[in-house]
Amino acid sequence: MDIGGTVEIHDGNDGNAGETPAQLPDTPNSMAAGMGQQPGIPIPKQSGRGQWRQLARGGRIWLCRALLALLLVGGIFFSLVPEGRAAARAALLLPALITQSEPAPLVLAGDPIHHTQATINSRDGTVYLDIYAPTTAPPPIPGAREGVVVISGVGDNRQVPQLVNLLQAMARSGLVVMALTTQTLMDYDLAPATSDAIVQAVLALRHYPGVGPSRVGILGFSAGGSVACIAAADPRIRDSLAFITLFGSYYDARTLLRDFGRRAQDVDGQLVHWTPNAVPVQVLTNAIADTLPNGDGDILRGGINTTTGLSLSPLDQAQLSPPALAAYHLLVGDEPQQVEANLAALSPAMQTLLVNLSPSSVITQVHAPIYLLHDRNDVFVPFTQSRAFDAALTTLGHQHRYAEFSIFQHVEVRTGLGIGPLLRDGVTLYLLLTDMLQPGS
Amino acid sequence: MLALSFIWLLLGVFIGALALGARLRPLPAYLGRYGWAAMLGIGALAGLIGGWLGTILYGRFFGTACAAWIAVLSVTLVFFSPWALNRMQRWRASAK
Repeated sequence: MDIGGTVEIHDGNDGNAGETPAQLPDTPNSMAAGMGQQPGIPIPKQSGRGQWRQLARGGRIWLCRALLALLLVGGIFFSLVPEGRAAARAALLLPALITQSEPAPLVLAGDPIHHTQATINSRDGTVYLDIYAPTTAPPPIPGAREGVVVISGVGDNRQVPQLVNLLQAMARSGLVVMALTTQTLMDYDLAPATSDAIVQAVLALRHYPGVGPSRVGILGFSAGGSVACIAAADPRIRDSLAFITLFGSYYDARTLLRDFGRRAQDVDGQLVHWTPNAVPVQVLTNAIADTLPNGDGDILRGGINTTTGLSLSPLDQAQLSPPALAAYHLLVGDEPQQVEANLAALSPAMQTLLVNLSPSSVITQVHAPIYLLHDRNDVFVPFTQSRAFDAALTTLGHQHRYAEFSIFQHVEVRTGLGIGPLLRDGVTLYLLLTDMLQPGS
Repeated sequence: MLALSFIWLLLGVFIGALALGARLRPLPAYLGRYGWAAMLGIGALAGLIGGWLGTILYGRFFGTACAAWIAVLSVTLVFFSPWALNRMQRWRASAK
């Protein structure tokens, strides 16, 4: 039915159409008549200026129709289609992620939320949980909420505004978010037992009111992501985990230590100079010190320096056992030519620890889709770790996505960014977010 | 929810205005000379109902999207309904 073609020319008296008596024309042109055109009246010749005016008016009409069609299709897609609902959530969550605040539209359109704290027990001791959840019941469609266990990495980040904003924004978009930490993580340490804390949190979130047991995923930042990946291989949760997202995490603790030792990362077959931040040096020092006898462990921990990461006097170095000294040189990076020898000199306990802390050792046992994100200029964990992870997953044919970003500084958004990088990385981040939000949509 | 309801109402009015701009004006026989006002009113009402319906079914987050498509559908149906009614009357007449 062509409604518009005739109307564009003859709608000049449209405003008076309402005064016409009520007889409905019983012809195919009845629609046009309703809009002001009277069938059979010849089209008067227009001057050039008049024709332009008519064209502009016709353009306006079609613009309005296009807008209406867009609102109809967009509205249906973003509310009735699960992929559309995920896309809508991602669209409002993305600004929160980039600006590290809660945008007004999200606060207005999102669910009201509440924050509770709880503790549970695990093999890694007490697990401290911060739960952010919508106060309303889950909507009939899809019937249950998505749950996300968030591991924010080492240190006590529970009061960090950026993290709190992100957790609140996720909850406002309809997710139940459970941030966890343990004493080990708060002490800037890593232990394989932390994976049990994550498993316990996932099991707890599955039983949280309104959360769908098969809609629970894990979001791990930095080293927290690597431990989360080990948890994702646990038989108690691996078959029902909706997804696992690792942001700025390492893939293999042994190759990570090698990168630390040679102060370089292997980018496409070329060694590129790389100096790690003090924090990851501190974390690896603590983790390795846990495997050493008290004397060695205490000396190594005593050398932790918040600026350089690790620094021991020649006298202290002389007191270390050969494996501890090898670990020291790897962590400090003062023997880049001896990296392989130093790696070989690590004690069996250290070697076992590195394997047990590596997602690479359990990757075949993880069943959930994996999303990998990494800052291209990361000074905490080389981005080549995620590249290696991506390559391994590709080889295995495991469902995954990998994205490198330049807008982040490790896992936090850099300030003073131009619109170009924000747009480029924003689109990639949006697509990843949409995938992550699918289970709850 | 009050603020959201107001937004849905405004969205509906906007969609009603778009429908007028798109010349989807209801036939005068059915809505009289104030058809334009009726169109705005129908859009607003549909936006409000759509928003609440979306909130109940899909959650508050999706109320606005529902308000949009339900309002568009409503104003379009108002436009097409006289035509449909007319066709139906013709069909009945021919059946007799």
